[in-house]
Amino acid sequence: MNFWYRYISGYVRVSLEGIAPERFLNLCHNRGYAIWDIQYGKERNTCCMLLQDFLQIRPLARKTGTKVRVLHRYGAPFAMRRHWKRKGAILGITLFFVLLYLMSDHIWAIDVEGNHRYTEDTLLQFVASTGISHGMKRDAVSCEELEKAIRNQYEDITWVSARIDGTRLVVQIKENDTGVSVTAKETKPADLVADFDGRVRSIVTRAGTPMVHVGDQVQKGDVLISGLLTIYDDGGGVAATHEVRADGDIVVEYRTHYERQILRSGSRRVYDREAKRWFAMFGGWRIQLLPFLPVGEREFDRVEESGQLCLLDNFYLPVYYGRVRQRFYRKESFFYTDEQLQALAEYQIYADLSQLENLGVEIIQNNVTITLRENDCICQGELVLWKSIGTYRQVSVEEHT
Amino acid sequence: MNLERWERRGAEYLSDHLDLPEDALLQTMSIHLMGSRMMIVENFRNLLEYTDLLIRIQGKEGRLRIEGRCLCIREYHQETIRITGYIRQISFEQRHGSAGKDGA
Repeated sequence: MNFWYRYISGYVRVSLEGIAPERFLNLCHNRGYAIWDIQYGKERNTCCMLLQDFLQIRPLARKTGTKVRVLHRYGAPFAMRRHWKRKGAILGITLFFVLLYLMSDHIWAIDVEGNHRYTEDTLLQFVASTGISHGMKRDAVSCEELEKAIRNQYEDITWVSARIDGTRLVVQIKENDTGVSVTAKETKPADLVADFDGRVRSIVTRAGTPMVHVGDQVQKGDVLISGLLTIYDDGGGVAATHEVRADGDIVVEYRTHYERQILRSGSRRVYDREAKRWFAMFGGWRIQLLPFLPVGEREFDRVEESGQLCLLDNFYLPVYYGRVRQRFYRKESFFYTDEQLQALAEYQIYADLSQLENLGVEIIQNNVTITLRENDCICQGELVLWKSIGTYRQVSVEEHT
Repeated sequence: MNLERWERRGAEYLSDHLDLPEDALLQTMSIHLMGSRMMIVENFRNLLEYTDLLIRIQGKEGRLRIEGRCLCIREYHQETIRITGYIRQISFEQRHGSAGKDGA
């Protein structure tokens, strides 16, 4: 008989006083009453027995002339009686574990792993469209059906695995890396035309017939390299023409006007104080531990961060917790001195030109000047830039004849 | 020969030739001793005497006498009795006749 059985049933430690306690023990033994921990004492022996057996030993004690006295009570029945006043707490704890057990049978989190091309929102929306949602029973989710549906819907996804871990549904996918997004190299005959105005700075022709030279002024739409290859015979006549896909690198030089205005004064937000409060959310109920103090006419930004409660690794629960921050600010006017305005203007120009360079444009000449005025600063000037141009257009025979 | 002797001889024959456990067939007391600190006795009938220096147990064909100090009966079930303490001597008292010392 193990400890838990004895504890749940309840047992007592009794003292046995009499001339023949062995006879009493033998009678109990013959009736099948479990007795343990029998200890000898000079005046009395003590032993333990189950509560249900103790309630039936009176005739045996009377028969053997043994005085049985309860020394101590152990077990759940006695504990419940002692703590009966706290039954609310015990009920609450029991209800907590019951709810935990019931909630562990539902799906509370759906995660997608392995996606690169398709966003998580796209895939989660598709999963929702198949009828799988938060809060549904785990048995009602068919992973095989979901895998089949994803494979049929998205041709790029070559492998799908859906599994349920705890209360979390995990969908792992493997996308086709070599696939559809990389188009095969175009081989259709085409001309290379200008998509930008400028003066040709350099031209390197790899395929086709160049139609412009270094120093020529080109407009948007002009043919730079033609896709028609004309073969001349010995007499100078056209022997044959072939259509190819024009290929080459053309760099043009162009000038552009740069202008930017920076105000000398204005107002900006200065954050001076922050208030944080923790909150919890269950279903549609939201509880904030402490309310925010009245803000009066102060202006503030509100930032909320939240996460889902997860016990162990995969036991997600429909409980969200997080923190709300109120960042109070005041509007402060600023006024730049000449030195500050100059520095700000230089930095702004540097940032704009860096952005241009990131787009593949090379800056050859920078004639931008900074003019400080009473209320603002004007940065203006001309930029000389080099840029690679060229876009494909279908070969048009009429254009070349 | 009385009926009990025939039963005993039959049980011994079966246990020898069919390899069956003797204590179950013959209903003899079975003693398991673990060092000198714990002892388990099975197939007993009653508890005759219990003090912290002496425990006497009645079996089917004799009595078991356990002497020591700080003897305590940890479990007293239908089939087994577990005794702990400092066991000094174990002896058998025959059913008809004086005590014989067969123990440690």
